[in-house]
Amino acid sequence: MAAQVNLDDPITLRITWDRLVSISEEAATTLVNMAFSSIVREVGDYSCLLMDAEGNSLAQPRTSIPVFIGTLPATVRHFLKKFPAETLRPGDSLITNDPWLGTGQLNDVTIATPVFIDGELVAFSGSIAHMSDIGGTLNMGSAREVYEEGFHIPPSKLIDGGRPNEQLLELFLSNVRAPDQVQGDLQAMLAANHVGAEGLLALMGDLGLHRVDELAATIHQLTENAMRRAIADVPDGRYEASVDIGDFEGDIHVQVAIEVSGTDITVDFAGSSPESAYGTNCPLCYTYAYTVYPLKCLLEPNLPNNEGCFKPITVTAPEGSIANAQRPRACEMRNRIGHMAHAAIFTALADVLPDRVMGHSGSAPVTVDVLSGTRADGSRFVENLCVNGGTGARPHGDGVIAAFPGNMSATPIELLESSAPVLFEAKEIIPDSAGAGRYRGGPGQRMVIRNIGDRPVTHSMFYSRMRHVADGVLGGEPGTPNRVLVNGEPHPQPVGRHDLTPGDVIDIELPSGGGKFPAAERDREAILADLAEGILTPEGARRAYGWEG
Amino acid sequence: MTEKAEVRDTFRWRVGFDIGGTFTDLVLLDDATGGTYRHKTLTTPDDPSEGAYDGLVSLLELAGLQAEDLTSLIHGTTLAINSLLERKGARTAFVATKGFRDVLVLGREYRYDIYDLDGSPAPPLLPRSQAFELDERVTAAGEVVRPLREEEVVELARRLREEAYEAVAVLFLHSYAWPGHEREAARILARELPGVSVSVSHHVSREIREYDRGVLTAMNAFIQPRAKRYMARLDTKLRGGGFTGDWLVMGSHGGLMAPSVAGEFPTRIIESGPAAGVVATADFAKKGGHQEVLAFDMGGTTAKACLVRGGEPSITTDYEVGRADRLLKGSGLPVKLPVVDMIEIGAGGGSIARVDALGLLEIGPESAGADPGPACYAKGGTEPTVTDANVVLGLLDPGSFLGGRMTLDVEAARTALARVAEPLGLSIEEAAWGIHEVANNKMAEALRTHAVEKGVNPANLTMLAFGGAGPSHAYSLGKLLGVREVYFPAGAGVYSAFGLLTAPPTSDFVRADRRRLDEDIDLDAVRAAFEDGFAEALTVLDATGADRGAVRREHLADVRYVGQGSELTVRVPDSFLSGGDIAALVGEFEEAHRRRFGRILPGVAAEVVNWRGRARTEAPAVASPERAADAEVAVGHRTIPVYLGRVPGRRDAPIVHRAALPVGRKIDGPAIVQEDECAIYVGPDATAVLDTHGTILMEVA
Repeated sequence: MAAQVNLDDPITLRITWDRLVSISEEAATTLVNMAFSSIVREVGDYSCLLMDAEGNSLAQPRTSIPVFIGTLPATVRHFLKKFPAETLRPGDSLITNDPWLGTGQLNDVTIATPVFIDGELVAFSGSIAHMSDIGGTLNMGSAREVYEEGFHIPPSKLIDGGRPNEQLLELFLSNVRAPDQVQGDLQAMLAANHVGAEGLLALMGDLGLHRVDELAATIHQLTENAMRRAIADVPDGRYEASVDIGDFEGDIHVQVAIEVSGTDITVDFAGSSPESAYGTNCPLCYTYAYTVYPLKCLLEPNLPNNEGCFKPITVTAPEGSIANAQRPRACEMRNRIGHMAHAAIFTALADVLPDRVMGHSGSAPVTVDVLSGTRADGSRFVENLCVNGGTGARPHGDGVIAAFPGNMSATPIELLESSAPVLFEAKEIIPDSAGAGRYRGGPGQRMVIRNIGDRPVTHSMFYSRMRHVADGVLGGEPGTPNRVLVNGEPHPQPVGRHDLTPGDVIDIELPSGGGKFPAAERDREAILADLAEGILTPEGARRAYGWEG
Repeated sequence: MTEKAEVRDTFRWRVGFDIGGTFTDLVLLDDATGGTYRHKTLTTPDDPSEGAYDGLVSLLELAGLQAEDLTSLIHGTTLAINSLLERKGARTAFVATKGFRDVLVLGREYRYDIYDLDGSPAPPLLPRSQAFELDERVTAAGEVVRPLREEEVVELARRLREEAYEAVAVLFLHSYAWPGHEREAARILARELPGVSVSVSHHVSREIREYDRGVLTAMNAFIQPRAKRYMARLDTKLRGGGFTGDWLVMGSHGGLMAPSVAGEFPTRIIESGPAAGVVATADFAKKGGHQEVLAFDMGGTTAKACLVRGGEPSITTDYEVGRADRLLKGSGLPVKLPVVDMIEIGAGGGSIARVDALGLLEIGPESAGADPGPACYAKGGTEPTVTDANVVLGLLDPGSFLGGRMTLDVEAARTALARVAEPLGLSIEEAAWGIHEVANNKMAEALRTHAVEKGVNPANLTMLAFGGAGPSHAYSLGKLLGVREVYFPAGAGVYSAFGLLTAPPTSDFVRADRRRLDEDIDLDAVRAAFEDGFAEALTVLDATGADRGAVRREHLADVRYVGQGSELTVRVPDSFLSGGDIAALVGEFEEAHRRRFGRILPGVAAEVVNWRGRARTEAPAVASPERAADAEVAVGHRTIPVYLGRVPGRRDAPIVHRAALPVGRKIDGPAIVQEDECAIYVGPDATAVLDTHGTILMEVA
């Protein structure tokens, strides 16, 4: 065994750290490649994390979104409360999907596998993944309490000393629509945890390490120092802004106040709407995740993901606020609040960080439509449809068509049509939609879907930008709204589920992103290029930019 | 290495020539003895066939041969990849099903770097203004919802002619399974637009997913006119010079194809050059009986690696060209065709070291490139690079670089290294050691991740190292991975050109066909899919002059559990094809799944997503010339102080010239084995020995 690693040596630390990140990426690759859940693959709603024996994070993959960076360590601490270290043994794996102990919704399952050396607990290898199905009503966001949203697993042993907890598994799998897939997703997570644990043990062996808590502390400290330096560059002050989105019963208000003081930032959601009677409720863990993500992008995007990065940032919201919803509120659509935090944060900080902010994202909150029903041969189908609107104008350029702050790739239409009896008449860019500005937003997108089967197709959707479009920043213009037509008639409230009868056509316009800086500052060449590419029509160019040719 | 050719009347000479970005490498092989002549000449970018032809003439002169004496020429080329990277191709129109002209521009709607707010997906190959639509539509089940109208195609052709398009890419939805409309459109467009290249999607790829197939079709159309012209020009030149044999082109999949096919489908030769190095590694593996070999190729800007198992290169269909960030998936354009799986594992010799925001040492992504190059080149570079670190550590002999034609400036390297040493509080040597170690560890990590994906234990690998910087890093990288045996082939500088001569003619196909494996299977339909694919593949092979009787057929399938997101490619057992033995196919899948994920899911049904096939002839047997065990030759009397880390500090290591190394004589590390374009670092606990085939084996303790 090699000598004890010297953490003061910047070379050794760099190499050790790279290797930790790499191990977490090996775990993540295993999870993504084996996973059944399309949300894991397409939306990146998963994470793999290596932690010390107390749950402090060591490393996370570079590619997965930091949503769960704060949640997994917290979940492990909840596990340890119920299953103290001395009760854990090799071959155990712990599971929960409790929204308030986990990630804010039932669909995300957390599994943590304790790692032992000579019988002593030294680390955890954990993963979170969005299950293919969790039971519940599938009626997007319309549940009134969390009980309606699916199967709930309190912190439990999924594997006990190498023996699967058959009773729990059977109970779980009997409560979901796709037991094979869910079983596969659980196995993929266990496979990923195993890869993470083995990699960590190999590294500890190579370095002669018996504990990793000191390593975790060193890594966090360096990261925290770098983050604090970045925050120190932002002028002290209190910066406020708010945004609104539509919901079942009207508007939801998201209000932030950002207090920058020295090397600390506090983000408070006081003044936001109270808890919703429906599923648009955000437990604080998720509010936190989507608050620190845009802040990291603004402040120090290249820092590694660990709690050190977020230690200088405090996120608060009054209990009972929509950004800190309490048990047993329904919270399936928590992303609708989380995804809007970026907009309020960008506007609040626009004046002090004008070079770094973006226009508001038209692809926030991210939307995933679900098409389900029965084919002509009687077989069932359930397909997710991911299509994005435009992002806001980027710090130094135009917006694009992609999800932000989520990151969801588009569903290939050929794949969807191969499974569901629908036909896409179009999937195309909407001209003249992009929020104008020196840098314009990403344009909106339109899709037209026809039921070509002989029985109804159930379509679930949740569109929130009917009245409230993505705003511009620093004088940029707003984007365009959602619009949904069924057989040419405007759909009054495109939330929840409805049936498309055979021959029905649904025409959906996805919102565009907001611009940045006044439209009058837009480069002539850029306007000409947009005209040539059909992003602008001559009429649209006149309207948006006063373009006379 | 070989005596002047005495026997002029026996056709036994073949030439491999590999046109790279900077150099064109040529190897002349005597198939009777395995003897080679090698030649390196500068690439002529305006017309690469020019430099290649001149190089060929020089090579023949060197060997005392005439063009008539050659039986065949094998060509590796960067033509396709350069066209794509530089975006220099034909003026191309993209024609899609009505409602889908934006397929290329919308792309995957994915941000490859989630933290970089200024990052954006790879720009589309063709802009929206060059996209057109035709009002046709076929469903996934093959039902024609709207027929293709000839008059509409004719009208579009008129417009494309007026707008002076040189190429057309056609993408109709579901044509991977129902190509009727695309065939019809191709026929009409060819008739209406003489002289314009037409690529239709089902011809280029039979895989489902409109974006991936569309990008590939657009790429094909975009580079096709240039590729066709190039192949014709080279042919004329070769024939004019008296060459009467066959010439073939190396494909990205590691097999050979006729120049006519390469011209028609230039998307199949995108990784022509790198594939050759991997194929050479496969040849090495087969000859030496090495089960698992890692090809490690480290040059000036990148380090790449490929696994070769059982003498077969690892092949991927998940490849991207033109990545904005070379290590980030999704930042380039997808190429869903079989490509040798040569993954980027890290920085090259020119990559620049710096201190990052955390106060730690970081390498790359910036590179000093060839100009100004590393500081030690003394061409104006001031940033510390990986090569500068190697010079300071004594891994490169300043006086022997490029055969002594260039002297490395050690002081300049030290000055550059001070830029990272000072802020880190390290000595120059410690900083250099750190750079070397960090670079090696990053590569080791990338390789470990890749190995996990492939279900391989890195410690079981044998390494074959080549490229300008590979031999300097092979020892340390091998050590980190637990690799015991590292080989350095003879002529590592022209190794790819040599690889061209070891490849067999090969043709691949894929047929999308989703079928569950827990119910009765329509075996006739499966056989028909394979028959159809092999018929196409054989036509491609015929053009290479391959003997149909000698063609080997491989049946493969992409299989997954029903509902799983990604597939594993497995062999289709004979018992399945002949008698519908579903259990045997499921068994192959479960074995692969267990290898990759350490587990299977009993009771969960599996399904096939694609059938794949590969037709090829045997790889040509290339003899290895035996070298007599030399009489004792004087081994280096010069030494260089090599830095071995903080504790041992520097130790004197002998400098041995490879050409002067006697066969069978064991060199103990630390030592430097010097070649013209690279230097092998033999570590303190390693030994190196030259075998009778001219290969050096380094054994690491």
